Amino acid sequence: MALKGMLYVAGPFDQPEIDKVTEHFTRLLGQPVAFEVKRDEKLIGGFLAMVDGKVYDSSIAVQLKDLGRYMLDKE
Amino acid sequence: MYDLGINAKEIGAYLKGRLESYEAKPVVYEYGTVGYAGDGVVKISGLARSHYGELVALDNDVYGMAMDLELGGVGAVLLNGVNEVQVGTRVRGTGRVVEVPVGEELLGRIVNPLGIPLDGRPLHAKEYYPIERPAPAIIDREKVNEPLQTGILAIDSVIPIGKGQRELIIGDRQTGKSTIAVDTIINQKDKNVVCVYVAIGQKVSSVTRLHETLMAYGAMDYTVIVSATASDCAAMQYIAPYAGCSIAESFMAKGRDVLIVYDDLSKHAVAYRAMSLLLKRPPGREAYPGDVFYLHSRLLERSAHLSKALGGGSLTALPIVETMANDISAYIPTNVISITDGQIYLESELFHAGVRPAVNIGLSVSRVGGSAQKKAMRKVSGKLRLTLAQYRELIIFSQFGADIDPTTKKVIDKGARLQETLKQPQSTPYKMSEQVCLLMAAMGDYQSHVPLNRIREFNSGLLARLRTVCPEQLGELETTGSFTDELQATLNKAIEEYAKGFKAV
Repeated sequence: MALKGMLYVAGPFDQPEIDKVTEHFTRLLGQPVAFEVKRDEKLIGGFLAMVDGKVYDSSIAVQLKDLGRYMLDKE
Repeated sequence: MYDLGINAKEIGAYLKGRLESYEAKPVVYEYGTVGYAGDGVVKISGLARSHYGELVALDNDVYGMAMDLELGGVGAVLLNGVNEVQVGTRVRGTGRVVEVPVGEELLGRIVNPLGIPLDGRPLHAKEYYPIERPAPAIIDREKVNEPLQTGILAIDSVIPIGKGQRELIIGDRQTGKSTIAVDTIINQKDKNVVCVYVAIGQKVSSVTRLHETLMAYGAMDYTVIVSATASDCAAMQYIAPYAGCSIAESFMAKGRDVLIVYDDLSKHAVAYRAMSLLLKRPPGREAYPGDVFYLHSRLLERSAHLSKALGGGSLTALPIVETMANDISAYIPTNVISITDGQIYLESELFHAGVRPAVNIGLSVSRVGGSAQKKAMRKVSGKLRLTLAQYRELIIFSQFGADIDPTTKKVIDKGARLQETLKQPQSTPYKMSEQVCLLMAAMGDYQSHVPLNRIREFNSGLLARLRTVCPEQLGELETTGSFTDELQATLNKAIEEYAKGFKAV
């Protein structure tokens, strides 16, 4: 049985892109994954996947937040 | 323009370098979703690896604390934003337990149990402590051997409190429980003691009034107020004393003496009961959950007098418990009485009879404070409890018959004058040396000719006289606390002279 998950994307998307992400997660988790895809403009860009009790956030929004923290950090 | 010795080019190059060295990585974390939300409690499915007391972050900057760990889910209490949570809201474990800012920056401030300032000024704390910390171990502690002066004659003489002790203040509503605590805080001025006042489930107006009082006496300079008022959610009221204790411990760890007041623990127990019932934990006696004893014991065990190796700091706790209709055998009062090192029992009958502070000396004890008393105080207060007990017994007895033999009358007269001496108005602390002199006068039969309604006048006059006649002796008594025969003789003589003079007036 495929793992059910949610995939949030920032902008318009096409099926090949989704398939590519799904395939990547299938390989990562070692079992088939089925995503329900939703649009979330707050992400700015990139995607956020919620599957198997974990969030994989590689959206532009979270990266900007992380970059902000990194710039303020002392070396 | 100020010349800071750097130019725009350098800054630009630095920023560029930083930007180039940044590597974008996806952020991966565990999540759960809210399956039930109500009354400040949420049930979360997922978050399999969270631990007890962990801070969980919900969407919209709402925070909660994990309280129930189950297979497949977590029960959490919300600390803010109760109305922002819906079924399906995403929850993220932070991997940290609930923490509170600590350190010198908090002195003079009012904060909530999460350390967020409530006085409208920013707080720049450098250090954080988790709110739940283990109590100091046996080897870390030292005997309670130094007195903590409350400035209240009735307490410092008969129910002395030592640094590192836990002394319960118990009584009905409107008997002056908080007043004793506040007077004790005021008396710590210039004594290098840090005070923490934790208000649990109180009215906002009461906390405001308290803050104003402490400001007026200059006591806020060394005091922190942690406030979870009646309008805050149960979870906030629940964590308030632990947060206050962590703030106090940070000062103790630096070798300082700290006094913490928990006002009051009966409301704390009520908040915890509300929380536990909402988490569907089974109710026990009076519907309190089974661990309500542990709730207070683990809090009060954190009070200690640390060994010299750990800096020798101390944490003295004055928990307050409110009783209903003088019933000290109710559930929470008996629990806290058994945990603490003694109690100060206040009675509304005494309060209304004008005996203020309304301390019932017969029912009040201090289990460890006696050894912390200064020598002079121990010497003059030795027979005090017995004298008062005899007086109380005889006064009841004498109500039945009209004829009293002279010996009995003498005991009653002395007791009445002693009780009058122990009366003390609010916010007027006595120094230790003054207390010793007052007791010397009261116990030494110097007042027998003074009418009862003029005892207070006699006492204030006596202190004024002693301050002018023998200031060195008072100073010596205050600093050393020892009571040489010579010192005693000088003071006795001065008191005797004053007493004779008072007769003539």
